[in-house]
Amino acid sequence: MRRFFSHAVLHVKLSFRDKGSLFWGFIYPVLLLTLMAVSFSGLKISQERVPIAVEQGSALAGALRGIDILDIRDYQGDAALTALRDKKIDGIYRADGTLLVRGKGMNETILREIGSQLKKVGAAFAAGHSPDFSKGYIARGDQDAGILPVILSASLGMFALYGYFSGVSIVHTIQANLSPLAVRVSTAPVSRLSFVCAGMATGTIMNVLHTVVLLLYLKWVWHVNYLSDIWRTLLLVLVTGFFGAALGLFVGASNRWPIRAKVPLGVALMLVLSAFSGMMGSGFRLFLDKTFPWINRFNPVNIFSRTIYRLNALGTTKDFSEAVLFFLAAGIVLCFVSLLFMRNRRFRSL
Amino acid sequence: MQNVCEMRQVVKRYKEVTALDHFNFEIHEGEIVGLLGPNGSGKSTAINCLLGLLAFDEGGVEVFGRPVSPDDMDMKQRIGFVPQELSFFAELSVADNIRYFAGLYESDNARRDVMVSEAVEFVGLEKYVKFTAKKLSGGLKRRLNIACGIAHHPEFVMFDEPTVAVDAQSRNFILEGIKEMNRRGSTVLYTTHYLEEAQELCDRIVIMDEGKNMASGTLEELIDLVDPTEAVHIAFSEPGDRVFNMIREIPGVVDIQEENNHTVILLTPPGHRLSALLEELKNHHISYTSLHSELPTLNDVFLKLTGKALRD
Repeated sequence: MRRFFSHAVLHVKLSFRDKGSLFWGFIYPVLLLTLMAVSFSGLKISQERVPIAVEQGSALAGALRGIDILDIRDYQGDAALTALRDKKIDGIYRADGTLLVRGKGMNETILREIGSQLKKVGAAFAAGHSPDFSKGYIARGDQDAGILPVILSASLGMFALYGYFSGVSIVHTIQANLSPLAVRVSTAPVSRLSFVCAGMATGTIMNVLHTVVLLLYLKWVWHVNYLSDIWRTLLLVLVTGFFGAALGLFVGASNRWPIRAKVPLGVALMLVLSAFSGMMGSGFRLFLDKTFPWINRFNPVNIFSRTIYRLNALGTTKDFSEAVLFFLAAGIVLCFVSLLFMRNRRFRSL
Repeated sequence: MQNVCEMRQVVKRYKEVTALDHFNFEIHEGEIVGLLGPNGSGKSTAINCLLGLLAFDEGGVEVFGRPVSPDDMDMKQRIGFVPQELSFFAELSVADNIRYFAGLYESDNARRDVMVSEAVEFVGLEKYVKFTAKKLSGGLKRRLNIACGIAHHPEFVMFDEPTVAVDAQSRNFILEGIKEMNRRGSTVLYTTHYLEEAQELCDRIVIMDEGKNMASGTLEELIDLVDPTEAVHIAFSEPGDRVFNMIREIPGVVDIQEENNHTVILLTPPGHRLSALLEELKNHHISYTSLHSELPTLNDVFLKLTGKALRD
């Protein structure tokens, strides 16, 4: 047991002293999530209100005043035209229903879309249709209308599996045919099982720590709360981290590729699985779900992202138990197979 | 004297390549044995077989009188290994590295801390204990590599080319350290490319090539094996046939060669005939402007046994 702690302390020290590990474990995920959040939260984050003028007598005046994004200024006639020319406003909704803008740009596009939508609604009224605004026309299922939660949860799924790198590292430190350091360690009276267990435990815990930091970051900075069902979420993060480390152990032990090949392999694998799960946008994921539905059924990133989303955004525990059992069982199987691969202590070549 | 390790008729093949070809070898307790050979001669293969990490095809390997086994923890407890490659954790400090490796052998914290202090002192890294290993210079890294391998006071230590790419000062420090370890009771197996190191350090030398034990013995025994001569380089004031004919008559002179501006006289047995030669020169009033003598070296023996062809 003392040796177990000695190995565990080693792994923890290596995790905290390796600047590469710290960067890829803590800083890179925060940077990537920030980039994703900024890119896909779009107007909600950066869009300021659009200044406009509305001519007296415009049929759209009432509706326009009810739109938050519009900032209606009190200009009329020539004063409004002067304000448009001086860039004090971005457009004028005229009494005859036309829209006057200065040129092409984001704000002008917004104004054109708003005008177009209001006209369609007006046309619907004119045709005798009368929408009941007290009724909810969109029924809420388990799909969120926004793309951001899909992308963030898929990214989280990717990072939750980063225990992979600990798993690979463990094998390359103890399996004598994989590295000179492992040759050196193998000449000492070391229990391989103790070393692997200590590495798996610390790798999993470190990964939980990384993921919790990300969840807190999302909650406090981006107000995306994936910690509302905190205990189930932590359990999910824990078993996913264990599965990631077991996957790394398996990839590390099952072949003699150098570590410089296994690490990029892991990065690529995570990215692909995340893309399947929607990190690159929901379109690809929807295509996969229709064409090859079995892929995401067994995609660990998708299992994690779907479950954490349902737990925290939809408040349902649907599939939670299945997900936990899947990660736990698959992780144990991978560990067992990896230890079988690692049973040799004497090799044909080093 | 008891054998610490023994390899008998060991054959190791890598597909078509035979790395060890019925290799025989033993080390007696308390010895420093040098294992010399050109690149690819099988030195590291032999060491890996001794460590129990490499499977071999034929023969037997024993360490401390028992067949070597990768699961023999008691045997591993008594062995130390300093590999050729730097094998420590680059991100950890000097002290943490030595503490971890010592901890693989010693579970008592107090005793382990003593081992760490002794190892640090032994390799002269006192000023660097808190340095991160990757920030050390090449020579200091080598010393740390050694400290990690010997901190647990092993009875038998294997050094696999520990002085590759280190400066003369560090090399000297390392060699002195190994001698001190030996004085304290450790048996040492030392592989190197640097023949002068083996000449300086080792009680006995084994020369291997193409997986075979070509010769073994003390330096003197090895030199005797290869028909040795002492080369006396003389620049005569008035060289000529009279001088050369006179020299050819002196007992022990086996050959005379003309080189650039001087003459090389080969004497045998080495170390015993120079005074007789000088006496004869004096008696015959033959004057010279310079003279120096070269005794045969391990390098001569090595090249004679392994040939001068370049190796991979």
